[in-house]
Amino acid sequence: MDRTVLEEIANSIVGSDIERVKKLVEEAVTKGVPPIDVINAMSTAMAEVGRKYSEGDYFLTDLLVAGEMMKAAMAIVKPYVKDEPNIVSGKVVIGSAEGDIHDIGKDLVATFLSSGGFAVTDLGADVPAKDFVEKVASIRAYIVAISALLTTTAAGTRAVLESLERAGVRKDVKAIIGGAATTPALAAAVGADAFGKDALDGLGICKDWMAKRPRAI
Amino acid sequence: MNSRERIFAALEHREPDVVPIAPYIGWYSSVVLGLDLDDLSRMSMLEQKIPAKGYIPRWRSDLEAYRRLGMDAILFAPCSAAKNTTRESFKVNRHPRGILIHKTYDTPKGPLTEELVCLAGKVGVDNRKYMIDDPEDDLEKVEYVLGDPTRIDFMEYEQARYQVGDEGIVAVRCNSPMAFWLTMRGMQDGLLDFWRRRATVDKYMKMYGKWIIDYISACGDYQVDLIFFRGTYDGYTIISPEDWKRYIGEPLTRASREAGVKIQYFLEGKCAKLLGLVRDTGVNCLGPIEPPPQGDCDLAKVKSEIGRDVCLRGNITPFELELASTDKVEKIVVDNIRAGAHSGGFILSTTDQITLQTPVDNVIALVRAAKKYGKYPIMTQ
Repeated sequence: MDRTVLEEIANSIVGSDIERVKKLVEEAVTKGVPPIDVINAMSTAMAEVGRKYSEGDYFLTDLLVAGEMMKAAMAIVKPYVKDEPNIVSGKVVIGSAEGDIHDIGKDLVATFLSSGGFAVTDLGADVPAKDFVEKVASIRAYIVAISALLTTTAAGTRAVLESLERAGVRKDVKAIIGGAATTPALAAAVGADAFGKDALDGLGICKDWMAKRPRAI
Repeated sequence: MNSRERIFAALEHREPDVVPIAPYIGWYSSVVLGLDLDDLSRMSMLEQKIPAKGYIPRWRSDLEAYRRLGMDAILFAPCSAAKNTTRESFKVNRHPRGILIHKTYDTPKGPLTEELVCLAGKVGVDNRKYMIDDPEDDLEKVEYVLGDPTRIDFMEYEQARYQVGDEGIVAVRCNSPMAFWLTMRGMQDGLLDFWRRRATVDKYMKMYGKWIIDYISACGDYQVDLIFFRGTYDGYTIISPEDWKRYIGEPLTRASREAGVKIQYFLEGKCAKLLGLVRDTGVNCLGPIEPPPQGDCDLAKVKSEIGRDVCLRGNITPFELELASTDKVEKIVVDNIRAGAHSGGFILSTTDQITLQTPVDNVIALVRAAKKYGKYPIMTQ
């Protein structure tokens, strides 16, 4: 029964049927399906949407629609989540580099990361380097994700990483850059740990980092 | 050959004396000319949003930068359509982040407004309010805002054309239907509307598709040098090839065939699967032909697929140019020329604006290498 509902939720997300997603999620949580199972089903669906986008079968609108569905479904699930720390796989600070007012790609990455179980702090667009540093240090984030859409603002990614270095927190945080203006070569040149070619790729890299993260115990 | 003849030779698939060199200069002119970026940025944004108000046009700084770098100039001149029955008004105020522009269009069907901030010390604008609020309600108003495509003010074009002389050509920008829609509606809402209100989006696309055919046709009658058809959002990561055919391919094909004017289609992002369709539209030139990860194009493959029919303008990425040594720049240029320039029909360019951090020495190295290795006939080995 649970499995059928969860599969239907996933299928409805992939099929962009928002009303059905909301109905099924509501039904699932009120019938006692563990919220973590519902979230995992949605996460699997988001990964499938991301895969279809990467392979050229889906387009940006499909990603945005999936993101909208994810947000709507999370609003239904959230009141039922009593032990949130168990479903958080890591803390990420994300934002668009200073001077870059574009946030659509960054928002998508944030949605994918949230769907993948990350606690995402979204600083928004046109974010000064010092704001990244303050937030990374204050919440002890493990990952910082910086977006740049324009070639003219991609240098802002370098400023963030240099500021993290100066503040002495660069060694504690993994850094990923992405966005239309960025490339693997730029990531290497500015000292980032990775380049994410799209939202799904970014999620995969972050998950990989968390899996390999050195643990105290 | 002078620069003008060289660029036209490439656009017409004749072999010029040497490969034309026309990267996108954009904000980099502030580096070349020692201009304050803030001044240049403000000048450009005001020029775009409040046309014909006496600002120094951006093409002047572009032209001077092209001259100093020894390149072949391709300038942009803003040319707006007459708004016969619509009154435009502006309010410009200081804002903590720069300059706030509030623009109102009083159309016979009611007002439309947009609000944006030209960011101080930075490149670009922050759109605080997009023009289309209620797509169903605003459709008729937008038609008035676009103006009469058969009555275009070519004053700026004429001035640019006079100043550039034999040193290059002047292009008139025309947004593709996707760029039109997303610029007026905003990226997020504009894309979600394909899902939320497809029938309304269809109406906008149909209306604008008809408008651009008339606009490009009027530019053809005026015999402008080039139409720069801006397809910033036309790659198939953003819209499907089916939508591309319907919304972009159809009007572009009609405009190309009927207008009698040269068209460069600036198709950003992934477009390798669209190449045959682009060729079939009849456009003269395609750029920026982005390689991965932004695009999916291999210049040599694009050349073999459509290079006999379409002039190619590309495809050095700005970061390659910024991060390479001068020796590496020479190699990049040689590879580019060998892949794309043989038999003519090629303009050496960057895929986007040269970044502000690019060393001037690298740009000079690009020009030197292009002049040395770009002489026709091109050696492909």
